[in-house]
Amino acid sequence: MGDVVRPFRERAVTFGSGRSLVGVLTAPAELPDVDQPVIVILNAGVIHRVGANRLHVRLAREFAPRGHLVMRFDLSGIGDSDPRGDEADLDRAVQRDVTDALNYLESEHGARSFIIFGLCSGANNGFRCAVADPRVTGAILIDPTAYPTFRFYLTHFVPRLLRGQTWIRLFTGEDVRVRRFRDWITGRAVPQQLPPVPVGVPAPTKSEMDQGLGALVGRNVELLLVFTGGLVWQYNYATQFRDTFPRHARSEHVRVAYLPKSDHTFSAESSKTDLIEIVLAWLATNALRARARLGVERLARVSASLTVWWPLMAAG
Amino acid sequence: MLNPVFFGASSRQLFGMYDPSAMGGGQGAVLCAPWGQEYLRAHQSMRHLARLLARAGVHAFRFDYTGSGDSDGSDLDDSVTQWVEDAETAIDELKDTAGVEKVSLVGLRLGAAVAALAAKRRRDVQRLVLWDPVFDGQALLNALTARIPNNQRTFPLQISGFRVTESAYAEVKDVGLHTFDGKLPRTLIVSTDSAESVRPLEERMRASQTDVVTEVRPGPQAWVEIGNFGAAGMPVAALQSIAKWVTS
Repeated sequence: MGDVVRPFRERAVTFGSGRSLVGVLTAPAELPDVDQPVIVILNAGVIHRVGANRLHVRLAREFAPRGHLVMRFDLSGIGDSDPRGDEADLDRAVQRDVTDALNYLESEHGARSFIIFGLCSGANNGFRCAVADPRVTGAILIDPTAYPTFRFYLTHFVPRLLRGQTWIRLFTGEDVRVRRFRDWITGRAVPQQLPPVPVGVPAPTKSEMDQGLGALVGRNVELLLVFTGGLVWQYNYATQFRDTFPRHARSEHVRVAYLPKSDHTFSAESSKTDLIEIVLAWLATNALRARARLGVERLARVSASLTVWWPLMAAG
Repeated sequence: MLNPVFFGASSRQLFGMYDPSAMGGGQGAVLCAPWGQEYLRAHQSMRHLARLLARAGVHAFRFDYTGSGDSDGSDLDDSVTQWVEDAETAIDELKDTAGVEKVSLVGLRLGAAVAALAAKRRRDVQRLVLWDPVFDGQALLNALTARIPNNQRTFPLQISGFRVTESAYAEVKDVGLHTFDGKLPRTLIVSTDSAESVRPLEERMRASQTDVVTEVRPGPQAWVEIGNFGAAGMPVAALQSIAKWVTS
């Protein structure tokens, strides 16, 4: 690596109760643009804050030179952060960790609004935190939980039904479902001895997602949802989100991208660059819209002051 | 107490995590991580080892190599030579921070080769721990690239989500038994597999007059993914053995 001037600065921080949460702040080399929301990147599963294949580091270093302050941090009990001592429920612990992060960024760095970025479980966590915290004005959700539609099942099953191998496996009893059915009929099925063990925070139900999306759109929160080909058992065609949530998909605040050639963790370099391009374009559009809104607000303020002063001046 | 820091030259910052000794003792240990996906999966085990060492009275310091983790650079900057320099920078950082004069180096997998190479260049490394060491770089690369089709074997190679340049490939390939030649500090080889798996290394190091012992502590391999979670199991017995030996 050559000794080049970097377009960003990085600092390690601890915050939260007992300073038990660990994060890395990536800031523009110059002062951050105060009008730009601070981007907070959540853990993907149990991988620490650098992200799968170091994706989060790469994203943070792309976002910062465009004026954003970026925070990557470890939720309690993940990576370098200690477990919380004050919360038994994992879902509430996540909410409190994110609240701690936003509070820290607000008090120490003057942050006024936030964009949450999350992949996989990070997307589901990010979605819930965006719904819960009015300071969140945007969310980038990569492979959040998706819900099957009629077309999803067609896309899933029709190619399988057209394959000769499927029928051979069915008739020869090789298929695991046929074996299970046969065992059940003949009474050989082994009863489930243990209840399923809950792992992590439960994914949002379709109804929770529907209500949450409604709340976010109602608050004018800008949303970017990206679905990859890495979870074909959940999401297998480009417009599945639109077919699942048609009302929300029509909103000007919701953008959806589908990257069928990418796996779930963006292993291939081309997948990483595709994602970066999509997210940067979305951020740039948001910045323009935010500036336009700010411009309209300023115009409204100017126009309001004119309506006060103009009659006085006209009368004078 | 958590002490994350960036250290090193301002143009090439390295990320480190300092776990101060719970007893304020005079020993220090620098942990050298594995490479690529193995680094990500082993993160929890490395963290736990640092905590064990700190509780046992050793100032522990973990760090990320240039191009990995939170440190500067990208995967295109991977270089064994650079990682050895990084390890030396980390040793100096720990000595400055903790006020220790000598350190132990603990290296996991390819990090064991980095630790051995760094130890050869220093006079302040008093002990060396080679934990499930890689001493056949070609075999490691063969395993990592086994599923890459021939038409995709162009540099930079894409191996498990990371790009590997031709020079990094050559440097990793060059890691072998000879990497551990020359008299090294007192050494512990820890294997979670078997004594046979590390015997060639132990014999080679003995031939170089290095005082070396091997401990076999069967358990999970800290760098092998469990299920599809991006994390590996934690070899608790191996970690306890390392902490005990470093403080003995």
